Amino acid sequence: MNTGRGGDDTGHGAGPGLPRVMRLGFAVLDRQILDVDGVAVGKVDDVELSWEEGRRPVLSALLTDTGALGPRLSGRLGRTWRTLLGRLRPSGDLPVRIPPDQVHTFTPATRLTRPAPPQTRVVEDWLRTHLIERIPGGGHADSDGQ
Amino acid sequence: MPTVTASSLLGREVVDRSGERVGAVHDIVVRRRDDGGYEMAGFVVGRSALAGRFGYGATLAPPTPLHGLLAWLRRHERYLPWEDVADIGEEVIRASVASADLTPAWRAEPR
Repeated sequence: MNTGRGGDDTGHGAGPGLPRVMRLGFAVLDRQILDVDGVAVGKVDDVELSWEEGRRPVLSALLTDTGALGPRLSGRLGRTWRTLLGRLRPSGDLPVRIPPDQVHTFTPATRLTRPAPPQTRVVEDWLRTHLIERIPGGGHADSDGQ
Repeated sequence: MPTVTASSLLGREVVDRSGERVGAVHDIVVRRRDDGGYEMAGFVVGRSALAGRFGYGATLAPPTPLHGLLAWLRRHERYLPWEDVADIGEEVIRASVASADLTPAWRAEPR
């Protein structure tokens, strides 16, 4: 059965959502990431490949959060983006890495087998603290009935 | 352990063993290993990424009227298997074979 979006799970031994052969650009990059509870936590902004000398590169991590977008934007925009996110992020460890063994499926969305790393919400956290909570009534905007 | 990101490889120029330009990296093909991890299988190389922008660069079949147009847009597309990669440079990926020896079909990758 074709996934229809750059992957092929006709191979033997593949899991139901993990294709045997796939194209990273079609099947992985820019896909929505959902954690084990189905909560949208961002997109796959980049993919890290690593290798040992003389060996094939292997997919070692999915990179996510808005910080990983910086290297994909060329020129001044990309540099500005990296600088801005570097200042917003308290820990400074850019970007968030998700090991591939935590992925349950890649398509149509990247679904994880566990809760999302807490650092994936740095921009949302900053906006909530510095902007939303200062709006009158914004401190309990998530309450039931609001 | 050396690392590289997919975004840094996408768009990188590819030349064959004689230095002739084959195209640019349009996509990276990976395959699943028996232990569940994914390893690099090869590169999809081409000169026009337009068909891919419409989503027809992989397994999605286009509407019949677009078959000819998309096939024409992808006429330069080649699959460069990892075995035929001689060197991954900062600017250029060099193949160890002639461009004429590269197959157009990335799905020829054995599974």
